[in-house]
Amino acid sequence: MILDDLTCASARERLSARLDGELDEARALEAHLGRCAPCRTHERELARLARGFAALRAEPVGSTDLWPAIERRARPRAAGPLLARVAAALLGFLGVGAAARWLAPGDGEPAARHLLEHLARGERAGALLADLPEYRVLRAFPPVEETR
Amino acid sequence: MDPDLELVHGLRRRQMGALREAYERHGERVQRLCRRMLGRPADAEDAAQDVFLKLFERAGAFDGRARFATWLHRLTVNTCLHRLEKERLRLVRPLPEPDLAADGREAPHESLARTETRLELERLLARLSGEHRAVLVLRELEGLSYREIAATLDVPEGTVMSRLARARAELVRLAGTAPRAEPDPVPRPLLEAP
Repeated sequence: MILDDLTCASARERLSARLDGELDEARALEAHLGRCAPCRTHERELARLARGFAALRAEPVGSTDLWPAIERRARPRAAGPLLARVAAALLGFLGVGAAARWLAPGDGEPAARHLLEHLARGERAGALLADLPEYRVLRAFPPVEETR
Repeated sequence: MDPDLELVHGLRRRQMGALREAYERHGERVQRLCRRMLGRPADAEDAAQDVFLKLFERAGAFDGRARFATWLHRLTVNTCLHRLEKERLRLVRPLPEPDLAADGREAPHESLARTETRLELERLLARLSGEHRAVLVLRELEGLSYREIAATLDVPEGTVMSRLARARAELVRLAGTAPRAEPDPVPRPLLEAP
């Protein structure tokens, strides 16, 4: 014997799940429906709702090509190709050199010439980089500790 | 094996090609979900764009516990819910689109009935809370199982079941045909009043 100990709220939750094919055990629900007219009415309303949703589901939803707009907005956040990143780093490095010449006229020299002359003398890269005006400028700004 | 894993690697490296591929694979569904959540096409298009920009920025947060598609749908639903909450957007009943209303493949009265049903349901859906609307859209319009909805919304399956029941009851109530439920038994107070 199945005892009908469901509340209407619980029965309606199970009705909804049965509509979705997600209810394993329906005997208690059936027992409740057998004695509860309002829940039987609710069952009919849910079935009507399901037919409405089926109609809505059948309607095509138009879509627009959003890619041009997405690409335009995403492009600045994208990583560029490796060559472009290296070129940008080199430009930035030489830019600091130009700033060094501007900040210390007469003392600095073009970074490219400085590098080539030292390399031609066969000096190690680490030693000659330390004398570059770019590094002298960077040393003027102590590193800032990263804050969380 | 998640078919989108390779895509995720590219997204984590912020490759435009990977974003393009993600859009090609999932753009239509994301846009459809946004449209059904937000109603108005312009809002839906803005939201769908935001979803892919967030995807580009947050792909590193994808931990692989759910499938990428499920994770992306969660991102989409959350984006829509955020918009609804922030802007207090409410779906405005859209006009029937000309190409749909003039569909000659079915009898005019059938087309009209379907359009009326759609508009009425969309109007009612717009009055639901974002939480209820999301669960109904995922179940009724996207056809997801309770398990898939639970994964998408990151809630237990039991919550999906109860939320769906409440959302449907609310729709029935809004439609003005809600039957009166028998009052649930009132728990007896622990102490009797003097």
